Amino acid sequence: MSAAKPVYHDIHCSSPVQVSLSDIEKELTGLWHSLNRDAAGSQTLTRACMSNLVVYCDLRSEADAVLQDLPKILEVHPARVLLLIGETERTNDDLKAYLSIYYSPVSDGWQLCAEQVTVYCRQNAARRLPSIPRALCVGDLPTTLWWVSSQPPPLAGEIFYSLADNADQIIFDSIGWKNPVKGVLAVTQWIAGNDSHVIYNLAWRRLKAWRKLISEALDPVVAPDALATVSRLEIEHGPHALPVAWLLVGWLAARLKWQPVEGRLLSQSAMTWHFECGKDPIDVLVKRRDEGDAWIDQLLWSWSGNAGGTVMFYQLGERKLGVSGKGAPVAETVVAIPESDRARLVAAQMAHRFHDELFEDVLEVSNRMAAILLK
Amino acid sequence: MERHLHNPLTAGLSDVHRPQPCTLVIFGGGGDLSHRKLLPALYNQALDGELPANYAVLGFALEEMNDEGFRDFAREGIETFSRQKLDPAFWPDFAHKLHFQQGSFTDAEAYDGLKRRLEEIESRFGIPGNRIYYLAIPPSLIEACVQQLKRAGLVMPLDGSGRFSRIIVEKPIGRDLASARQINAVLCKNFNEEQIYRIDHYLGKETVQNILVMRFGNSIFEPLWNSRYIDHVQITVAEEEGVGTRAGYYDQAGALRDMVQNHILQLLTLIAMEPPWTMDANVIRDNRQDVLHCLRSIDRKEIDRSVIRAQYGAGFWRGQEVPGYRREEGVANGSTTESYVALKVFIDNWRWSGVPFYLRTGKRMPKRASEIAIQFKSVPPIFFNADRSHPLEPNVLALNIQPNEGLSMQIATKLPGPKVKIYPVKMDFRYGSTFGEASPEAYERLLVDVMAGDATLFMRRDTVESSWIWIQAILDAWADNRSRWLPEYEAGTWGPVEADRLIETDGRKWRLL
Repeated sequence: MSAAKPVYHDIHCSSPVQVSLSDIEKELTGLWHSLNRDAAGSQTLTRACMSNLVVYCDLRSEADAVLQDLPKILEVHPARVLLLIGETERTNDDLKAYLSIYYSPVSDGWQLCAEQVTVYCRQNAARRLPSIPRALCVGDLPTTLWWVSSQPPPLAGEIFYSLADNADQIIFDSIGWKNPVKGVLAVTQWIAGNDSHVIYNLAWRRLKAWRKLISEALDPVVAPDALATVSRLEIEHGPHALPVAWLLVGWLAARLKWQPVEGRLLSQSAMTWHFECGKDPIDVLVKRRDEGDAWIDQLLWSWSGNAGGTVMFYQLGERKLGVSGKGAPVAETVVAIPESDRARLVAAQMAHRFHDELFEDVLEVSNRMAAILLK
Repeated sequence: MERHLHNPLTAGLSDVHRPQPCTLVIFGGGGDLSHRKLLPALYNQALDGELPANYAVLGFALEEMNDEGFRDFAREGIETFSRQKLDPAFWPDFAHKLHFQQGSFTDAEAYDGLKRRLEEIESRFGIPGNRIYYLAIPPSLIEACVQQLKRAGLVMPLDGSGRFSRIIVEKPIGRDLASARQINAVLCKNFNEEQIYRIDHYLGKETVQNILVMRFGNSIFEPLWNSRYIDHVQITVAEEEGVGTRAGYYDQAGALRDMVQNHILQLLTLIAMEPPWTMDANVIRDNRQDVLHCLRSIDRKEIDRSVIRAQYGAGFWRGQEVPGYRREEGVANGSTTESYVALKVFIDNWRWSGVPFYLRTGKRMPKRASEIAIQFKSVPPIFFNADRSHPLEPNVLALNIQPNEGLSMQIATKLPGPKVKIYPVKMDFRYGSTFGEASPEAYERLLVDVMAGDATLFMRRDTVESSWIWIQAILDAWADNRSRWLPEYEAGTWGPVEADRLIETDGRKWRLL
């Protein structure tokens, strides 16, 4: 087992073995034992485990992408993983389970960092899936449900709610939702009535570099009127990134106390909101580009006070953000975006076990923006 | 300018740590520390998105260099020493913020030029006059540098303007109590204590910071953390290399000044301090300072029973023949500077009464390893431990500072079988293999702390002087001893036999790392 090639950095993974769901703990003990035989001297096999991670996918293709992400997640957040795949044509059996373990070298032995149980099932067996994490999660550890599906969680119905019952934290990603307006409404209403889970949207985490740059570039010390007298915002985003742009506007509105007054769909690819801050109007235009990546491409920020000014924030490829100003006291600069592939975002979020009040405030405003748009 | 103009957009970005826009001026920017540590640390933090959007770096040194030359110098340092690889796509954006100003540290005109250059950079990068001066220069130049900064109007008073000037001073702060006091007096005459950051990079290491979390974030350790349950503590900082290119400095300093006065005493204070009641920097530093107050002075008549110094002789290190200390290039003939020191120390307070702390550090040891080991008292000599000829091994909690940051616990366990056979098993936790990602280098964390104005991991004036007061007694005793003879240990071994005796006469032994 120790001779296997690492799947990521120092992380090794055993070949999956098919097991009966009722024998999983016994099979796991066997796998640990075979790993422990490789340990030398007084160094015994140790096991680090921080969480249970329950992953739900609708499709095999989603599961394949998750399998690529798991070693990166487990490297920074050792966990027991239950990968549940709700649809497959691969087998006639209703449920089929596979078991593997992840481990890494430590001293003169091995450290076990994760066990992975992968369960495939046909759609007609999906109602049986929630019973699996109830039986297999490690007690005394927090449980994260990572919802990997293009369906917004509350719209997925019973299977989502059953899996969520067993979890402390729920992670989803609004990028790629087919109907973002409906999704935002469903998610915000669900979160509003839910105190028992820590709920997190990866799209919010992706905005952090934008939030940092905007807050620093428009800091009142640097650009005294830019926040207080903002009059117009124009946001352009790539395909599937409307939920991210929505959250960005929601964040600005929540923090700067803008009240949404009116919203209109201008076309299939553009919408506008009218906000008020006191009596001052703020117009926001959000446009989708026909091609490109699922991120915010640029944001144009205009303000009126003290002769006014305009600042452009823009994304430069995957890892850079820039800012430049016209007639504004904002220095042109480019900053790096910390690596934010999906695996890193999930791993970082798993370490956060408390409600993010700012995110919940943003969702509340986002919800009002959605309601106004549908009015 | 109004102080603390409210920015609602900063909410949720970082609760405590928000580095402010600033220019970092590196005095000695063309030197080794800048090349190996500071510039790579800044690059890594920029790449991780931790630096403010508006920042700049200005190297200031005697070397003939322009901005382009400094950027090449930085690039080479980053390519060789950085935690993360140089990203060619990001490099131009980082390099754009690097500048160099040639000048002498003692020349008034050079500081006037420095001021003009800073104003030009600040205007170009939208930096509101915040400056951090990093003195990566020999201690002998600190006084001149600080005075020139003040004279040139480069030190912003703490006047509520919202702008700041901060100064970072590298160890060693002095070479004895008198010179440390002299440096501190000069610093404090020209800067407020709140503006001074005395850096000891050991305190920026992840495992060192984890000492506080381990002690005060877990309920199982603190009840045992006292003389009732702990037999003794060992702190080891072993270096495998010889004096190398630092011979000129090292031969004037020695292991006691180079390692014990700062790094090891700082580790000792973190292990021994009382629980702070808040994370406030001054409260934590007060509690560390209390430990220094309680360190039992070493009586000069008893010094040989408490302190062992030695030099490495010729020997073999990793199979390679290496010269003895006195044969190293740059070391004075007949030098009596110690390359190894071992100490037995007591902390005279309620918690630690009677618990010896054994400290050791040396060069040319078999491997590089820094460790704090807490050895708990043995179980009573009855039942499983009744066989006095084969006592059970005591529990040891070891905190590994470097190279494999983490902690391990040794516990006794029963071997499977019909007979009761007990065997010690080591449970090992490593940051690297548990959390995967490489931790930021100590300098990365500390530079961002200064930008954010967080002094928790820096040494205060009283801490530096208290540690020197304690060390000075040993230095004075050694100065009184006119013998030219020092114990010797073979290069590539764990120290002299005298150091073994120091601990073995107490019925204990050094840990084998």
